[in-house]
Amino acid sequence: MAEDTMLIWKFKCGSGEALACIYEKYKNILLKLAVSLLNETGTAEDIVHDVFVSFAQSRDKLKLRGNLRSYLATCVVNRVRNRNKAGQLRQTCDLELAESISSDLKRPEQWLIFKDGFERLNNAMATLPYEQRETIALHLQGGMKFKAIARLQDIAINTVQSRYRYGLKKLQLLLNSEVGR
Amino acid sequence: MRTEEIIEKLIRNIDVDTSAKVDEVVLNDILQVFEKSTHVKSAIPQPKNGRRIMNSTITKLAVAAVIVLVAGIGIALLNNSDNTGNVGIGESVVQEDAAILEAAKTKLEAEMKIAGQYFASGDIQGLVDILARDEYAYETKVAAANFLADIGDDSAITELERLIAEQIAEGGKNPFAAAIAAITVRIEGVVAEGTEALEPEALAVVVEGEGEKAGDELLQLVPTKSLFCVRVNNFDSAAGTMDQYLMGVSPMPIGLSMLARMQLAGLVGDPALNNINTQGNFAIFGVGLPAKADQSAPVGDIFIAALLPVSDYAKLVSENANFGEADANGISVIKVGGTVNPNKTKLAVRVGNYMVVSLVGNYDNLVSMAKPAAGAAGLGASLDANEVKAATSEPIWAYGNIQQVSQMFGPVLVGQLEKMKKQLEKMNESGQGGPPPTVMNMYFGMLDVVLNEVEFFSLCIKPQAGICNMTMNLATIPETPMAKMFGTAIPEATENKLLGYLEDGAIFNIGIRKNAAFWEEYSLSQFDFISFLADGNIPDKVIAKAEKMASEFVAAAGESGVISFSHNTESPMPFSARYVFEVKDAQRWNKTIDAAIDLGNTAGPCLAKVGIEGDYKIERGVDSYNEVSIDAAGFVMKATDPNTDYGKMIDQMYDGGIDYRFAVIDNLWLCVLGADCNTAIYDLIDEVKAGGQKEIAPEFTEGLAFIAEPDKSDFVGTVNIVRYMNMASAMAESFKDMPGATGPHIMPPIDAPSSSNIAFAGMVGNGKITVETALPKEHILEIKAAVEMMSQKMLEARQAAEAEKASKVEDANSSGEVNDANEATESSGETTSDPCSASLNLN
Repeated sequence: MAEDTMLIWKFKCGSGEALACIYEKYKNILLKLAVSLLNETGTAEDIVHDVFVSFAQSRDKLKLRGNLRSYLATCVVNRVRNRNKAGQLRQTCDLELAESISSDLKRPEQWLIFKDGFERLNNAMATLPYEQRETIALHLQGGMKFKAIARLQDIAINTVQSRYRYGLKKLQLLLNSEVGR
Repeated sequence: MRTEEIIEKLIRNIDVDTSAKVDEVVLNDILQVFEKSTHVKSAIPQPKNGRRIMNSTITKLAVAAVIVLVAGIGIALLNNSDNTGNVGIGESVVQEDAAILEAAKTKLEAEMKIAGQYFASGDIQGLVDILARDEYAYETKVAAANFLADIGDDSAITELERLIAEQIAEGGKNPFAAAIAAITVRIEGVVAEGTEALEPEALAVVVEGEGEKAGDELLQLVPTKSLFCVRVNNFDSAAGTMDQYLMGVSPMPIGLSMLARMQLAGLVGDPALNNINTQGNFAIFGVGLPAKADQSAPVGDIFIAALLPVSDYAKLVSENANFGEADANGISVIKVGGTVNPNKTKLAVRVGNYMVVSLVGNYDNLVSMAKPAAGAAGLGASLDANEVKAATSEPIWAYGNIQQVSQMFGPVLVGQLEKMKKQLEKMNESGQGGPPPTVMNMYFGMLDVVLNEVEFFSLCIKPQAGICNMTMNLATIPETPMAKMFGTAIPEATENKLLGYLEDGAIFNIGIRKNAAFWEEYSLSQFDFISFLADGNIPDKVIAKAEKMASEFVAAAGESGVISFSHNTESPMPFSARYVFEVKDAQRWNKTIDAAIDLGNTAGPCLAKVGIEGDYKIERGVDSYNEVSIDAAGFVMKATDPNTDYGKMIDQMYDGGIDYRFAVIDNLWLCVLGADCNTAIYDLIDEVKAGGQKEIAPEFTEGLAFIAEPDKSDFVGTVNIVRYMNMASAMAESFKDMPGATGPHIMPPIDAPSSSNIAFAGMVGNGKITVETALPKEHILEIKAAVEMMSQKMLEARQAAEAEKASKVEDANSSGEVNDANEATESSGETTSDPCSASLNLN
């Protein structure tokens, strides 16, 4: 509580170092979350980058209190959803036009480095319906409570819990061999 | 470990890494954007020229509001800052130059001042500009929104709506929406212009008014043995801030300060209150007089008098046409109010810098007050330093001397309870039902404790524009069990590290720090009440067992615990709860739970007396999750007679009983109750396994921001009345179709929104208990909205019921016509299978 509140407070006061700390603390969590939701490393990296850029510009709008991790996770989910919606629209657009959605950042190399097992898990996650994937990712990677997820998805908490359990069951089937090891 | 848990662990723990090189690029990118956005912001904006001046005299209280607001925000900020420097990853940030914090604080204060100036001058456009301009901090915008809410001008709504749309932090309350609601209320007719008569000078006193702290004259004048005393420090300021707090809340079209001034005017016979120092301190007190020797009345009279500060008493008497000349004892008759009833004629006398006013029957008492006996020290001398400080510095202070009340009214109160008990016995004997007469024993017990163990209570009220703080103190008589209960303070402030487990959206949240002496004595006192309730039928052996159990619980418990109680909209059991307690000795704790369950089952006869069949059960190790063994307990609760209305209600309410799940991890005892407690305990285990919640629920921290010293309290918590109303209405709805229910309109189900909470905190020590409560205006407005929602639904339900009734009558009438018509058709010998032709015939 104290740590994040202090970071937000400092950040609101204009401390770049606080922003750097927030970035350092949450970048991996958000990248993991974005990749789990999208299963596209490049786009996930762009989304997380854009979330931080937007966050850097929003110091006046931020509340001093509130769950920073949930807030950032929500920002990622919202951008993923927007991107998915845009993707659906883009099916009728030129491919080049679609690419312009990504960040302007020119990176020399890939940002995210996978560790053992991540890709396999991610591929399994990608087979889940988006709603189930989002619920699992937000709960386990975004650290959000079911209640908060229900609020975000605007559905009953029971539905969230069902999505979560169904999703886990499917993952269990898909990853059976790995889990057994 | 189950496969599901392995997968959860895999997803939760699988890690990724990032390229340091790209990290640097991305971070630079972000910092550049941040720098750019920082430099765009200008310094503190200057007030604009050409403001519109609002004519409302609300502005006269503006400075008071500003000071109150800045102080409130100051407390909130202090409560949120972590002076320990222990911030983990952010450590370097904490150690960073303190100048940034100081600069931000200064900036915020300057902005607040500007907002206050706009409010003071009625500059609505200035306040709207604060909402519109990016350079102002969020907190300043909230302050501006609050000011606009108090002014109630619709030109602010567009900007407020934009802020609602832009507000990005999830979950929390939205002050801009609250401001719109308040503005709407004011525009639609609730215009409480109660501050009209306030003088501009009142503003200066808010800054300077320190009360009379040293050798407080007013406290010396109030008799030592007063039954009660209510004191208002700096009348103008206190009434003005109370007006601000009640603005938009109170149903009265007139402000409290105006009402109070009218009362004062009636008292002294001068509407202008000339020569009365309305910026001074006022008091009203009552002293019990001995019963008359002829015993014509069971209790004596009460001498009630008011103490009013006067700037020049001689001038007041000479200039006020309603004041008679002082007699030899210095007493004047006030010639108003006694024309209809001479007993209501008032008398006044000067005592020091005050005027004492009372009714004509108290002439002798007034003479005594004017010539106090040598050495008379007044009420102040019987209070400790903290109480004197509270009495002289808090805006409103109320005091009740329980020992004086006990002496005067004790026998009467006991007599009343005896009478009620006999009535209940008669009702039960004649088969009229009603609660068992033994219930009265419990009230006897409570009354006995209060009258014999409590010395006095006091209540301090501190209204501010957006919040009202109330602090209740209860002082006990030394050597009594209650004094023992409140005798020992927690030796040193230990942080309750479990507050993170409290839930947002709860009806009730509480965090407790262990005060062994208090909890042990408290448990024993509860057993005493149960013993009273059972009319002394609990065997000594059981009482001894209960007492041992209480001691064992306290001994096995750790330092902290938390409880969350929530409304569960998804199940017939309308509530759920979670408990997390530190335990020192898990085995001893579990053993005590077993003992408690055994003991609970011995209470069967007690429950049977109130028509309930109860049975506790516990089963260890029924489940396992994430390598944690889970125990289950159930409190089976059934009506002894399920065919009665009461029985049906009990069965419906408890749905067969309450399920609990327990688990112990890392010396934390976890317990959940309610429907779907399996999932709930899994979630809780997950939380603990993940290292616990690092952050406290925002609602909880927001609530406690207005409590003076939450860290030093034995217990802290929040209560949400709106959510309680939602739960109660949902429960009432489920009973509406039961036989004997009085109809669907008693309490229709509502789902009223709420984002604010009443916060409370308490501590014990030195034979006293102090409980502080912070009641946000926003919560009062939410309760008001919930009540309105309920009334509206009641009206709709009533109308629907009436319409249905009317329709049934109509149907009955029309079916009568059909029959008649059919008969007519048949009698006429015409037959038709065509319903249309039949209806045509009808027409």
